[in-house]
Amino acid sequence: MTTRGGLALRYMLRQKGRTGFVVATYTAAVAVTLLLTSAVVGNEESFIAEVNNLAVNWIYVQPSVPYYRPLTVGDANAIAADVPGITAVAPILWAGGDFTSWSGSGSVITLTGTTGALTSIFAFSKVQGSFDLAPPSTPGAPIPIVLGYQLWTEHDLSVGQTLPAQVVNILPSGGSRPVAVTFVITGLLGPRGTVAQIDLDQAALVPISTLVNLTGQPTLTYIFASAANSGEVQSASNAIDQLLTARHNGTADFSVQNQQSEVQFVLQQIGQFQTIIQLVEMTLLMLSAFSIFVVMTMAVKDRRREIGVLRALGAERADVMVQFLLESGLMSVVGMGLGVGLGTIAVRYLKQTGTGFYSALVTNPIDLGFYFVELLAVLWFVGFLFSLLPAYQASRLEAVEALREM
Amino acid sequence: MAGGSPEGEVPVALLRDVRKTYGQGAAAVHALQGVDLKVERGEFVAIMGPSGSGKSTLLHILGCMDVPSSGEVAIDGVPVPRESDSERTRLRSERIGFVFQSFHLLRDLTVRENLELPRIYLRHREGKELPSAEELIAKVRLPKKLLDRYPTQISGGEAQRVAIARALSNAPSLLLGDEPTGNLDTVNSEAVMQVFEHLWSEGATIVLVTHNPEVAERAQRVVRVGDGRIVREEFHSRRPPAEALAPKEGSAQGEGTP
Repeated sequence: MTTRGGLALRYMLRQKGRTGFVVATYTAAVAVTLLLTSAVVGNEESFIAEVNNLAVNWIYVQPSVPYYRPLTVGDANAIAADVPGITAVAPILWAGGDFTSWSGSGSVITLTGTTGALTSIFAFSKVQGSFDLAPPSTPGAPIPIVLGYQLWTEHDLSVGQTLPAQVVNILPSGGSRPVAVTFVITGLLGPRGTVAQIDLDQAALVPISTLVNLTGQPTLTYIFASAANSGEVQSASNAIDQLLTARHNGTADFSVQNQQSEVQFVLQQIGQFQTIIQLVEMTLLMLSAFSIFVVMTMAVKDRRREIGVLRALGAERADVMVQFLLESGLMSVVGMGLGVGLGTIAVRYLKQTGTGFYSALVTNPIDLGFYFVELLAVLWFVGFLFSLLPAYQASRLEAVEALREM
Repeated sequence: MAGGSPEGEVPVALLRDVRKTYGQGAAAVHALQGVDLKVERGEFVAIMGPSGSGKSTLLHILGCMDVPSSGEVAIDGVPVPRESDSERTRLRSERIGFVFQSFHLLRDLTVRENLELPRIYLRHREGKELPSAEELIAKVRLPKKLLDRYPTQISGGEAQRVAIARALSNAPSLLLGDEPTGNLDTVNSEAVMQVFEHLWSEGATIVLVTHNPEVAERAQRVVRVGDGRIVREEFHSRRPPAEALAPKEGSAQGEGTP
């Protein structure tokens, strides 16, 4: 039995070029938007999760200028002593450690000079040993070292084992000054993974005072702290800011960030990205709408005789209008379907082959939830709106006039 | 008023003082100037006249495709409203079948789909038993194998017979033809006219507009139109020829190659 839908399908298939044009624009619009949306939604969740997973109610102090080191162990101690609501403070100094004995071919890792507080701030699980990172009691004695999960499992290390190594400190002049030392493993950490692009399973923690002495660097790379609860993070951050400004003679040569401000920053960045995406979406939307308008207008112009025949056979004006709207609706639905398919394939491919930003892509469009449904609904509706005028023009054709012109 | 009316029977079409004017003022063209016409059930009427005489306008008004500037039109006793396009369309959909000179089959649909097309728009069947595509194709003496072909795959004569079958798909009260043999050669014209005569013999009411005297000769009544008026009517007092009474399904006559 012939149906209106069947008729719409026939016309759609007949006008291959025009249908292809509309379907292609809709496909491109949906696929590109799906890709961008998948990136935003996936990375938003991923970024926020990373920020929250980094540490417990964390506060982070860093130099305001790269390579400039105004922070000291004294600053860290002052924070621990004077800032209310702070439960732990860990000064951090990074230096290279060359463990020639590990693999036979040499293995340079980053040594983190800190205190035992870092293990609680970063919420490490403790597998074995002690984690207070007390400096050696006698000069020349092995230096305590606490190893991250990947380091000790990869090299099959255990507590009590000594590790000959060189501490390689990069000097401000650009050269380096290797110092031969022996580490003794005092603690083994559990798996923690990569958080905020820091591979915590590669951690090699040594006493801060020892590393300061070995490198001759009196200043720190960062200071990490932990507030008692999330409600005190902001007030503690403000207090740290005031304290360090005072200690640095009123110079704000550092910045204080915390879990909440970082989440805000991430959201702000994502918001800006979303604005760009919305502009792209809007452009694609208008292109799709324009394509459907042009194609449907041409279809009405070319099919006056057929419209006349349909009217002569009993089609009311509304029937003709519905017929054209069905055709445009069908084209847009096919385009959107292909766009979802193509976009999903592209997202999956990028996720499989890419890392970082791409690894957080949302591969199932359903997981994009309302945003995705909204996108399709808006796209379809705008196409519908832009088809109304041509469809209306078709419905206003008089059968006699349309047939007389032939 | 032309045409005789059996006592008490409602005429299929009734036009009273129908006038149609295109344009206004000095540019006004009076296509119809007071036409009275009655078409009885089972009549076969041919409308003849020179170009511009108003015969096509008359046919369009009979088919509810156009509205008169003044006067009354009724189909099956139902007045045709001047204002409501929707109601006129409904009347056309339910009671009128149209055959065009250029066939106007939709080339993207098969013959079967073309035959079913008018039913998409048929809202009220009013208990009518509608013929199937197979019955329709048989009525116009074409083989069923054509049902799955496209209009581009059949000859002109076949296409016109399919167009007649399509006009019958809503079981109309009135079958209208606008120069239905105008685009056909003699052989195909004859085949088409035999179909009309056969339908007439089955009780169909037919009104054809034609230039062709031989076509008009086959009708029961010839209405001659000139300058927007009915100038003369001729009654042939004839019934369909005997050969037209017997259906010839799949007749080879008129079938050509695509």
